[in-house]
Amino acid sequence: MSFRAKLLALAVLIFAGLTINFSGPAFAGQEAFEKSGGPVDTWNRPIEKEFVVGKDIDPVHFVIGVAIAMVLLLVASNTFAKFVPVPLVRALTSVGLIVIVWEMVVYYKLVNQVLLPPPTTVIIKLQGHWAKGYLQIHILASLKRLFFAFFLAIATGVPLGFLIANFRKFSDYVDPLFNLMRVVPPPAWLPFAILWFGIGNPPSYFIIWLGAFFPILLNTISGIKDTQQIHIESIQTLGGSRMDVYARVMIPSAFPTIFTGIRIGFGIGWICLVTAELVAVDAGLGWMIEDARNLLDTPTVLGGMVVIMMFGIFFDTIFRAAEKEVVKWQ
Amino acid sequence: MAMRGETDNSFGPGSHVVEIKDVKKSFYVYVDEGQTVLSEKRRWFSRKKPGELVAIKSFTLDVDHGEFVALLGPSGCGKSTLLRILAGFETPTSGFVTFKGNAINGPDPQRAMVFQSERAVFPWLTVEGNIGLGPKLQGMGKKARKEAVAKTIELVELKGFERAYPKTLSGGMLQRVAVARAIVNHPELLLMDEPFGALDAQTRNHLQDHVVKIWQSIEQTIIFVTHDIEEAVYLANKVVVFTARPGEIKEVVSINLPHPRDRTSEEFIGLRNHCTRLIRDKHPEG
Repeated sequence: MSFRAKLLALAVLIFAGLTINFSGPAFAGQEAFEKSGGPVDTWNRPIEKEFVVGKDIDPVHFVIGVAIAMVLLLVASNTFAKFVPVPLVRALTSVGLIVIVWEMVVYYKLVNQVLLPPPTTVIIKLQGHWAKGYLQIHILASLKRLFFAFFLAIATGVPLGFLIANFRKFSDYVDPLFNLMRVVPPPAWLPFAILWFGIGNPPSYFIIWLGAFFPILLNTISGIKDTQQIHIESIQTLGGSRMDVYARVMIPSAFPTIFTGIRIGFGIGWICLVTAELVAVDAGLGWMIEDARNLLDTPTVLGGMVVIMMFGIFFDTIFRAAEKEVVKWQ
Repeated sequence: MAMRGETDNSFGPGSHVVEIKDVKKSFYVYVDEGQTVLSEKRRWFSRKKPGELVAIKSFTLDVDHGEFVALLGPSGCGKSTLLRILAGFETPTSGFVTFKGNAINGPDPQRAMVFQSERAVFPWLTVEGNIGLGPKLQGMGKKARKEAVAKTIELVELKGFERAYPKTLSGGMLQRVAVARAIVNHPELLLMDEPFGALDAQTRNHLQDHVVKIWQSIEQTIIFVTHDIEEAVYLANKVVVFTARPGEIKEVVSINLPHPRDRTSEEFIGLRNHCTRLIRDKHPEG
């Protein structure tokens, strides 16, 4: 099996696994909270309100540790330049500097620690959530929602884009409708999404689908329309039928453009996910942030944001790597 | 003229592979204050009037099996249009074109075409994939396909580049891939539309020798469009010289020099000069 095939198989397995196996109830969060016991609020959720700086991690040690790590990384990048990618080292250096300054301003009480929880507190909070299993539930709830809606967006966007690009009459009727829908930001659909689809997962599927669908659709249309006439004529002169023109010329030549649309769609879907989870559900990273906000649990809010960041970067990296592999011929 | 024999719609030994009879091709265009606009659409409220652009006025030619015909003429004389009609991409406005006795409708792998631009090679397939696509579409088995592809790759001297993607190849190599892709199906008729027009002189000479070699080895009919007089005289055994647009046959020059031809021989230069005069002068000698 070629590397590309392996990569594709792995991606399909992961995505399928996330969409099928981990599909728990929409209100998984509440169940977990009920099981955990301890002090609870009116919604039967445990209350946590400690914001102690350096309860487990000493801020001074933390800052020194980060500084040492940065120095080591810089030294490594100079000594083993072949193995350590320089842009990555530079990126990590600037992130490290921000983290150090951030920790220091809170440690020296230059800003209120509730308004800007320091990295150590965020780490402790996230650690605690992870240990109790909340964080995993929220992450999985979010991913499950995202992947389901994302695949729905691919499954609708690519075929529709193909039809719009190929059939003039169809496009004349359908394209304006999509253009009208496209200019409305997906969160603006939230009230109606809840009215139409009820409480739970479906409205957030709808919002994420809206966000991911349009980049995929538009890129598919432009990719298919950019198919070169000479390629179509080439396959015809080789004995290709109309179907061969579609499957062996249009789709492969448009694939890089379509894939870029998929990557952009995933990014926008991820943004819409957090927005959609602020209402109508009881689990997910967006919900976790919203809930922590209500309790003025700012370290959890920030922690949720950090997790979202991490996953966003992670998926973007995967998509970029896959893209490079897929468009090897370009 | 190359008119030989009577019109015979049944294809048998002795009849022609291609018969072109009184073909006229015109395009419907819009004319804007004396300027011709090649467009099928007419904007609202525009002053453009519908007009007709005659690419080929009247064209009659028969091509026999195993012939190497060069269509030679100034650019815009309709020679490419005629080739596209033979390939099945365009239909003549009037007159008829037959291939092995049957009217041409639509493209067919038996009439393979090599395009002018090397961009016609599919960039998402490797050299092997490009050449193997034709047999695949014909439903050839995997093993037979592999053999045919390997044989063709050897013929065009691309060995070692089987797995390469087109972006890594030079223009000359790409055109060889295009030729290989066309001949792997063993078409009865090979149509070539200025395939070496965009290449440098040295590569072009090299590829011309390739084409002669291929033509001699698989014995098929080739119709080759070019505006390069020397190329036409070097390759073909029948050079059809076009007039300027609207295209008509000015003269059919038979070239009976054996291959490989010597570009510096007296006969070659004589024929070349004859063709040059035909193209340049409105009234050739006599």
